[in-house]
Amino acid sequence: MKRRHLLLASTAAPALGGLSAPAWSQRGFDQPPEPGPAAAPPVPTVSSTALPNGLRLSVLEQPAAARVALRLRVPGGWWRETAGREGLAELCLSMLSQGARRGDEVMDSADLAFAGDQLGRPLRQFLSGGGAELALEALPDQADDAFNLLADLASAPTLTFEALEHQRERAQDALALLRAGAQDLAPWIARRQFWGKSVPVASRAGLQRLKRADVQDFHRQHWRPEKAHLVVCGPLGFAAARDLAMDCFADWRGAKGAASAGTAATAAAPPASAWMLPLAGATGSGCRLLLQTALPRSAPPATRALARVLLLQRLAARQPWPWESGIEAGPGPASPAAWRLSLTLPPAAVAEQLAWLREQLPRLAAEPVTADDLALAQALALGEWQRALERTPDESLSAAIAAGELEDWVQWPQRLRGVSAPVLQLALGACWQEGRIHALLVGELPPADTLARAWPGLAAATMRAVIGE
Amino acid sequence: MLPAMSASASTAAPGTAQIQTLPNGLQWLARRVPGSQAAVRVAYRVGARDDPPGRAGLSHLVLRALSAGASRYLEAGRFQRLLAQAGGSGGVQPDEDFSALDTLVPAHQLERVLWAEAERMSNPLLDEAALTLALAQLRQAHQQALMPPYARLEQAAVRQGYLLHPYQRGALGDPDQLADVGPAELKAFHAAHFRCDRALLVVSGEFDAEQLARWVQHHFGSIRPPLPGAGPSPSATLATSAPSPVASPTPQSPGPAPAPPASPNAAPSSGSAPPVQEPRRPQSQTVRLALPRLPLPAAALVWQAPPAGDPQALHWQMAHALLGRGRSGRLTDTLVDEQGLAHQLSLRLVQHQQGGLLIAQGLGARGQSAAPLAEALKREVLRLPDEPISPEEFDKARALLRRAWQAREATPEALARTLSESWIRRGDPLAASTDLAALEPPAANRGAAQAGLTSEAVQQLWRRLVVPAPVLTLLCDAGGAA
Repeated sequence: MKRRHLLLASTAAPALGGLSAPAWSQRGFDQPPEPGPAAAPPVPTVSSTALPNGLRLSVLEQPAAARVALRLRVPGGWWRETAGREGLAELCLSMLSQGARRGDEVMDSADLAFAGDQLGRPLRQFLSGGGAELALEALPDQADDAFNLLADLASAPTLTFEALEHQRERAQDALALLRAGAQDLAPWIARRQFWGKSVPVASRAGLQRLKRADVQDFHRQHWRPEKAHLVVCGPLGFAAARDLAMDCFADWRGAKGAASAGTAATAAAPPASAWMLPLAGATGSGCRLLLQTALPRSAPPATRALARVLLLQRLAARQPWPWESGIEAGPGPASPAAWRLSLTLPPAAVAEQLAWLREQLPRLAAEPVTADDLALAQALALGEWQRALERTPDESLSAAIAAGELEDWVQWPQRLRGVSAPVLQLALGACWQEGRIHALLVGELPPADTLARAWPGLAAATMRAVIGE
Repeated sequence: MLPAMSASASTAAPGTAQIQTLPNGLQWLARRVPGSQAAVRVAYRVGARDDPPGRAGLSHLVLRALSAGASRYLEAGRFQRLLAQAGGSGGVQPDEDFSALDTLVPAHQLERVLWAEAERMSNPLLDEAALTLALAQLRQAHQQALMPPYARLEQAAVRQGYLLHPYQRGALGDPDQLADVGPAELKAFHAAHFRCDRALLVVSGEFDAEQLARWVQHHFGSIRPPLPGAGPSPSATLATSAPSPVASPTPQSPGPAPAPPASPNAAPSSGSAPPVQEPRRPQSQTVRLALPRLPLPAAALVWQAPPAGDPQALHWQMAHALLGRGRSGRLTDTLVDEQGLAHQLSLRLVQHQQGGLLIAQGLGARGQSAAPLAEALKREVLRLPDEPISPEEFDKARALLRRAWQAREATPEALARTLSESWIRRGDPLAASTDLAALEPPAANRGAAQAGLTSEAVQQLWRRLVVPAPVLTLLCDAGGAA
């Protein structure tokens, strides 16, 4: 039995004046085979404890993994910056790797960089609204080096004047870069569009005003053991990880007299708006298109994930574009989360796409969720989780802990199965309603009149108005 | 009854990285990665370098059209839905040397994906609708790549880094050159290049080896081989042989690099266009680029580098690691942390099948200008042979490389990618694994001793091949001043 091969058809087609030879029928190939029996999804076992100094430790033992991954997270993200101190969280995080003490020994930035690289993967630092993270990796026989290095960085940074000046200049350069590229800039504007001006955004002048004492205060407030969570994943048992954590972190004490950390402001979402911000000199670089809607925080994580993947599927079935979709938490428990869709397009394609989205996005979200839709969304969300568990377990686990969703993360397959089609439809339908979608265009824009027709109310914004400088 | 294996097929057990050949010429290999997922990758030995003149991106366009998955038994969109129902994902990788289709699914869905992949390999529907969709996606991918403020500097480094080779066109192509491509041209290019006997099927992840062999035989073995004479067009052929301008002679026998040794896993050469000969850059050159409103000055330095199969590729990789990998690489350590001249630095060692480039790129700190940055960057790159490499520094670079290369085999999709790239670029899918073994210290294994991977050998290579070599310097000052 032979498949009728297109090569035959396509090779012959030009000679036959473009006529394609018909493929002949074959039994056995016209339908996909049934899938085999699915293996039971893994049940990750996370063991947790707290050290006497309050540092929480969570360990996901993965005996088959080649390396041990460590992540230390504190809630010192940009939502914790106060007015006039924007950029402080990032500056503080970046200064941790510029110098640290171990006993009487002082390690400078070169020593710390070398020590991290020796482990095989450079130190990584992550900042979000909700927190700041340090991440390291090591072979099992170097795990103690990784624990030690992480403890030095978090608990004993030198935070010197020289480091401040060096990192301040780098932060100012990074700010200039951020504002020149639509892809990096757009999320910041989108945050202000969604949560209002309470979203801290660093400025050059603001960075210039920051003093060493500000950084030290911020570190004292947020880089404290009782606020930190250490996540360990890899071929390291719980007892071994706990012993290492005790050896390396037990002496970490939060500085006395630290000012109250305060709480992040609660931001209510402003009414839906539509902004366009052309970037000077962006010719040829394309237009970044973002759409946002509020996602009630009451929606459980599994429901949110199912809604996100199902909407992406519906978009993909109708559009050729590779949409990116993400959900970002707001500053406080009462703040709505922002569900964001984003895409880069050639300017010529933007107006038509925008008009289509304005009309179709509410319809896509309101479509009934069938049993097939639910099964598809469950399969996708389960696949995403399994891949994250195998590829980047530390990142995935740390994010779940930070969001207060560890229980959901561990029981993800059951949680997904527990969502019904009506519940999913309710959650999806509550989002992306007409009049509740924020639209944002950044970069190289098509003529304003075509955009105004595509999305009435689209208003020109300026960098000064949305970023403040 | 299953078709018999061809006489040239290996007798090695499936599940190893030994290539099997089906009677229709399709090659395949499989390798297990423990876990819940399985990756399927179909890589065709046709890439951007094979695009006809004036049609840069045609191979990418065909790849996009194929990825839509419409075929005789798969109506438009069903491939993607089948993948989604399986909880999987899919993608494409256009490249200068090859074109690849990727899928990743939970392991129990593997046979369905093999069926679907065989279906889009054998019966793709390359009609007007598929073409329109593919062109829209190609335009979007092209636009996305141009969005970062310094994208055009990176583009210029490749375009001007190669003097003649079609690699200078990059992997994505030019949508404007494809606007008037019709279905007939698409089909003709597909028929000539995207043939089963020019493809490698890689399966990696969780599977039963014997069952997989049966599935591959059943779904792919039944694909009809191409008709005689339906060979690739020699459009990209500019010469009949291609000694690299910087091929590394062995220390014992100076001269052009020998061909890689024949291997049972070697990619067949029949049907391939002869390689293009990239001439040696005659002299150093400096070009100022006027890019609008850049926030920081930038410079890129481009040296010619040997192809991926060069016998001293490992030494090049080690030099690259010493200079550019990690937070403590020499470039960052000196120019960013110590001197504060640069805001950000990168060093890329691009090694294709027929040639490569070493690209050092830096963004200057505020207040700097491009020319002094370029000078400092060049000085630091060329200083590698002069500054002693301590055993600790060498071990650190080795650790960074080891981790990066382990990651290439750690997940099903990464391993599938690595195996196919090694097969296409280096003629042996196992070449990457061999690198990893050769990386270990000489005392630990024979491979390293054979490879001669010592700090002295790395410095010697740099002294011989990079220090005296002409370099292309690209300068962009902040604000677009040229």
